[in-house]
Amino acid sequence: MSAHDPAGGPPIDAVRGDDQALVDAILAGDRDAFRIIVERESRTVIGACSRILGSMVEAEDVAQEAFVIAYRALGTYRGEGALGGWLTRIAVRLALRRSGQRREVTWIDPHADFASTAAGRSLRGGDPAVLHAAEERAGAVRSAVAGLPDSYREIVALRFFGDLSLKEIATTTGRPLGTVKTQLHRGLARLRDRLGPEFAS
Amino acid sequence: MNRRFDHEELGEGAGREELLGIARELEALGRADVGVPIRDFADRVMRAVERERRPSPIGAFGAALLGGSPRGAVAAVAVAWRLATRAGRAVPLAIRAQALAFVLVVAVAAVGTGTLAVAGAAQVLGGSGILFPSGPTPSPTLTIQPTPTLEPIPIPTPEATPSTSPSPAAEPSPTLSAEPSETAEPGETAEPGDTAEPSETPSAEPSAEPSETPKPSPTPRPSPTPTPEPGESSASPDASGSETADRDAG
Repeated sequence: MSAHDPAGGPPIDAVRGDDQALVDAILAGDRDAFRIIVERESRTVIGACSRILGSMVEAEDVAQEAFVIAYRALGTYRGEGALGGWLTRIAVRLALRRSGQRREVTWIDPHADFASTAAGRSLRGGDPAVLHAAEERAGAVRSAVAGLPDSYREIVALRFFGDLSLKEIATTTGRPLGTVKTQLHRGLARLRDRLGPEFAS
Repeated sequence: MNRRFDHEELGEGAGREELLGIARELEALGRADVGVPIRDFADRVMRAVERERRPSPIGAFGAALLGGSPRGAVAAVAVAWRLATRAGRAVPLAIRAQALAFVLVVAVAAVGTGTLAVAGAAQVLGGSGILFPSGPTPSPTLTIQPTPTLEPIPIPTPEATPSTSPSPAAEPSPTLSAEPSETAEPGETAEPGDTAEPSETPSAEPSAEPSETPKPSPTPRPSPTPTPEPGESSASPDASGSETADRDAG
């Protein structure tokens, strides 16, 4: 783990130290310390779930479930990686499971407010046909990621939807960095085969 | 989302450009604005958490064991140790003591289980002669010894034949029957009721005694003086036996 977060965040060691202090306070009975964690990490966790599921409402449900599961499992948090990464991993796994339980075909409600979707927000003000095409493309990518084998799927989701670096993924999952790289490479190759050449171009 | 995917993250391999295209697609999806979480999200989570029990390494350890996660169980023990040894007053004494007790119990259980496992393995491997080679060493010596033991066997075999015939003589029935014979002296009172009790011991000694019961019958001693025969007759069983043994030996 580098001294600074590659994304320009605060020093990771300092964050880790705060994380351990917060977790120990919760384990010592200070339940309100958990609110600090929720308020600090909710945006990241909900964002990762939203990118996987494509629905903000569903993402919040999954994120809440992830926080409750993390609260129960705080007794196993050793502080080897950032608490945010640990929480993101729990949330990503839950979101991927939820995504895998979905049907292959997603019906799009023509009367729904497209601007509320992720693609709609990112392409706000564009041509509706283009927006719908982008949403369909995003749905195809999400579906392809959800169909990956477990080990590849988690690495791909943590890297691109959870926004963790490969080193952070290696620390969070307890896998060697080389293994993480290999699984990411293979996961992308599977996605290329599944999505076709127009996505790879 | 602002962490750009670097092509070096792919490592070496064929089709890197295509994979990079897929990565850019995923990156664009991850970069999309996901909106702002609802304002009371933290309250929602805290309301859900209030129904939960206070988290602890002990509970997490049990859950990890039930869930079949040894890594989680080890992590719970490590967290308990961290709580027990944490400097400062952040952790109350009760929780610190509880964590320390938990670590000690797990350590004792681990040592006990390890000792039992080693003892069991030693017993299994030692019994089969894998672990301790001292077991097999006698076996070759035993294979050598039988050959000399076979040589003396022919010697006792001729002796065995006489030993069979003196077997009746080996039963020193006369000496044992001497006692009942004394009781038999009052055999004059040969009432069947009295003989009922001693009948059990004689019954065990078969035909030798009836031959002796005639010995007291030499009560006729007073009448004739020439009674060398009773002495001979009492010795006759032994003599006959010894004679037969001598004959056989001869």
